[in-house]
This record gives sequence, structure tokens and C-alpha cells, in this order.
Amino acid sequence: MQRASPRERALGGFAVVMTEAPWSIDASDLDRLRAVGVSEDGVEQAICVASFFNYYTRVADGTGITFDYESPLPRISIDLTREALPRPPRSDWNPAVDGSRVPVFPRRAFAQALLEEWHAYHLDRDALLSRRERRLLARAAAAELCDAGAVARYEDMSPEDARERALVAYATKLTRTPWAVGAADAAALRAHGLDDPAILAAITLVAHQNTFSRMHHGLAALATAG
Amino acid sequence: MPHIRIVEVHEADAPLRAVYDAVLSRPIPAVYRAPHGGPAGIQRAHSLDPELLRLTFAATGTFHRGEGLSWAERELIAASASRTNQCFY
Repeated sequence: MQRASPRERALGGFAVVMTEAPWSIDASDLDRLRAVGVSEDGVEQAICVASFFNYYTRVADGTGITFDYESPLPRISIDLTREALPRPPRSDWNPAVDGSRVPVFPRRAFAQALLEEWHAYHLDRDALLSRRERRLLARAAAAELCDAGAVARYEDMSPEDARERALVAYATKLTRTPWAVGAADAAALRAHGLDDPAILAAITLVAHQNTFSRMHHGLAALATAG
Repeated sequence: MPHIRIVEVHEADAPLRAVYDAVLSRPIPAVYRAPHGGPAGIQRAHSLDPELLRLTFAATGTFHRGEGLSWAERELIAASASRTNQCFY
């Protein structure tokens, strides 16, 4: 088997950190990509790909859909007991990160309107879930991603009843340990009155926040001189 | 067995069918085509909300655009992220 090139190792390593500990991303992580020849366009694209796949995986786990592509890769053995990495204290969070806002990539203006539309659909409506419930979900996910701006924006959002506490618990689990989310978690939401379309709304909103918070961590690093 | 209801192609009403047809008509690498020929599971996962499906894959599909990374490199990042999340997707 051919060994991975330095560039491939750097890109793969970046994806792991963006997934597992996005709050730790800083200018040095981007400099490691640049050192192996990744252009500024490539750096932005790497941030986007890693972030979007933190959406897809959470939707896959939350909805329980089966994998239906052909792949030469061996099936992975999932450790359901695996813990998420510990989060740093809030005092250490980067205040420049604000996943409540639509990320703006300097070299990806073509995506801007689509990201804005996608964000608005998740946060700015009352269908299926109320606006309040949507912000509770977003805040819970953002808190697990050390997203100072989003948490501050939704600071007054604390769960006030059992349904809201169930939503927050779900968002926390899907963010921290998506591999452990299963049918019982969907059932727990159903027990609090959510139907399947509302459960889908919750899953995808949490997954969306996981994307945006990661993008903002990447953009904050991008804005820092390396 | 999915945790929520999935609306398959043959059950889809007109709005959902239109979105399914649209995602299937996008030019994508052959490896992204599910062997059954229909929308992939990750797309059908959104079936209870056709507008969400449309908006999601319009926005997230933008990761393919750009000159900085090759397709293989984008796949490497995707696979690394998924593997870290212990997800085969």
C-alpha cells in the first residue's frame, strides 16, 4: 500500500482536528496545510469539506439511514462507549467565533446565498419546532463546540420544561457523540410530542450548527496572521 | 431500520419527487451514485422535508467547487472526518 504523502497526511490530520476538537484550530493548523502546498482556496475548501461532513455524519446517525454506496473500504467497528474529548473552560473560548452568523468565506462568494438560505430555514421559522426550540437546539450544540458567539447570542435560552430539556439533551449527545445516537434517542423525542418531521428538523438543525460552528473556528484561524 | 420515517421514491408525492429528480440529475462523480440508482440514503434521510432536502444539498454541495483541492483530497478530508465520527457515511 502506498504511504500517504505529506500533503495527504496534513489534510487528513486537519479533518480529524476539525471534527474532534474544532475549538483548538488556530493559525498553525492552517500553516501546516500551507507548508505542504495547499493554496488559500484549498484551505477554505478544506474547512468547508470537514465542516460539511460533520453535518452528513450526524444526519446519518440521527436518522439511522443505512449506508447504500459501494465502497472498497472495510466496514468500521463502532465503539459506542467512546467518549467525546473534554472541552476547554469557557474562559478559554475564542470570542471571535460566532456560529450564530452565516460564515463568510473570502474565496467562496458563490456559496454565500445558499448558506444564508440554509441557515434561515433552520433558525428563522416556527414550523415543526418553535423559534425558541430551534435556538435552544442551536445553543446546546454551540456550547459543546465552544462557540462563544452563538452561545452569547442565545444566552437567555435555558430549557424550561421536560420537552425543552429533552431537546437540549439530544443536541448535546448528537454533537458530542453522534456515533452513540440511536433509535432510543429519537423515541425519547417522540415521547415529548415530536413527530418524525419535527425530529428530522431537530437532527438537521443540530447538524447544521455543527457545520457552522466549525466553519467559524476555521475562519477565526484564517483571520489570524500565521 | 431508520429511526424516523423515510419516504422512498415510489411513495414520493410530486414536490418530493421533483426534488429527488433534481438531486439525481446533478452531475456528480460515479462513486456518489448509489448502486440502486435512486437518491442516496443521506438524501432520502431528508425526505420528510423536501424543501430542506433541496436547500441542504444546494448549500453543502458547494464543497465540490473550488480549485484548491483535488477530488481525491476532498474525499480524503471527508473520509477522515467521517472515520473520526465513527460513521461510514
